[in-house]
Amino acid sequence: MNSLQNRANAVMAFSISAIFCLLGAIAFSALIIPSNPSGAVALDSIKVVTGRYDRNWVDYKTRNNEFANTVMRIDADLSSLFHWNTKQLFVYAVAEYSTPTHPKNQIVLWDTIIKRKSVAVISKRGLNNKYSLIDVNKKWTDINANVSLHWNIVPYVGFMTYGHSKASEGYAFPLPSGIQT
Amino acid sequence: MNLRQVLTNSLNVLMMLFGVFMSYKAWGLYTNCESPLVVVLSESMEPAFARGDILFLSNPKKAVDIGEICVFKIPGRDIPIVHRVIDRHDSPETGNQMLLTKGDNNNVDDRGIYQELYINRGKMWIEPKDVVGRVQGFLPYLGMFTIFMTDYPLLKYALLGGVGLVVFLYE
Amino acid sequence: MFEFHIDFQGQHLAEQVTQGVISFFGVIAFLVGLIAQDIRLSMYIFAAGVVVAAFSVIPAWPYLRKNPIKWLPSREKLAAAAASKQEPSPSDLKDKKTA
Repeated sequence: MNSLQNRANAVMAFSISAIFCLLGAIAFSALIIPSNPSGAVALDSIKVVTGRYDRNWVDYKTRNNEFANTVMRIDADLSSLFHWNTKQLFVYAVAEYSTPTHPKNQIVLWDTIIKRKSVAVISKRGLNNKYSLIDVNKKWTDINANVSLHWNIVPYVGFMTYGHSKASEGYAFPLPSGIQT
Repeated sequence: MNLRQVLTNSLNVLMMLFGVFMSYKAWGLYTNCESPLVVVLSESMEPAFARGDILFLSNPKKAVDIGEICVFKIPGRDIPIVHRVIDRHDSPETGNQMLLTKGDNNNVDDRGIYQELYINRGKMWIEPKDVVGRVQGFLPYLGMFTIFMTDYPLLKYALLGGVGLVVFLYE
Repeated sequence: MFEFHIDFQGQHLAEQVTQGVISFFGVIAFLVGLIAQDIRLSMYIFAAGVVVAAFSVIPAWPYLRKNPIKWLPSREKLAAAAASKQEPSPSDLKDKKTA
């Protein structure tokens, strides 16, 4: 600590160690801050249509793929997930079902990014699915799907955390009733 | 400046470097991940991850979940991609999953990226074997350092030169 | 005119001041940030702590130079002083030098 640069160096070195301790404390504090998020997704209607996805997507290139078009209703209050280490929430509605060939399937129907606490209360009606709801077997007959709302808290520093709402009742898919345009 | 001093200094520098390398590898064993730290290079996950942020990865035994952010490698491509899983179809055979990913900041899913190379034509999904790690933690900005080093190689040589000077001049 | 060096006790004090100030501001930064639920505020407080620590120890303030080492006078001066009285013995000088 004798010379000027020795002292500057010591201050730098100690502040680097200290900021890592501070960031660590912040990261761990985020895990124990209590929250009570609530959310629910419901499907108001499901329509199944047939069509071609994309000629390059080999699994789905024929014209008889069944696409499910849904109308969703989402209600959620995620404001309690905004603590001092929340950079953003990634919120997504997920359909989950099982088929004889694949016991567990999950498909994201809709997603959004929430950056502020003031807009963390969601109330949406008449939402169409943002991503195609198509199964690897290309058929929706005899399949029951439930939907739920999931969220991922992206921190400023520290751990990625996930959560989800209770799954809705099961919805049965109707027979195909049209052609995808 | 005598030889003994130079040798002692080289030994100290090497011990530091190998110490860091060993802890990194030990951490890789613990997390079951070959490179448990990655630096974000693209803007496709904005605003969650920006260029220069550091991601902490691990490979837990449990299946990849929907909405998890994965780092995966497409066969034939060198640079790994960090994107979010938006479709998941689990096969009864243990562990095998068909996964579809998408960057939060992209408008379309990643099938275009999967099939970009001719050898991957018809690739519709990625599988757990393509996934090199799953994002568990986040540290902002610090990766900018390595980005600067690759963007300006002069900086890298300056740093190496600095280490060399320490070896020869430090008493 | 400008003094950059500090004495031994000043060095010890400077180290204690650095660690004390930065740790104190770090703890305050965590608590204030947690209560206000504002990570930005926390970072600003910590940065302020680093600035305060740097300002209080990097310049060679007088409080770090209160215990300067008292060197013995140089051999020439000693010799000159002694010459006015009597011849100093060589062993005398040697002792002074190594003291």
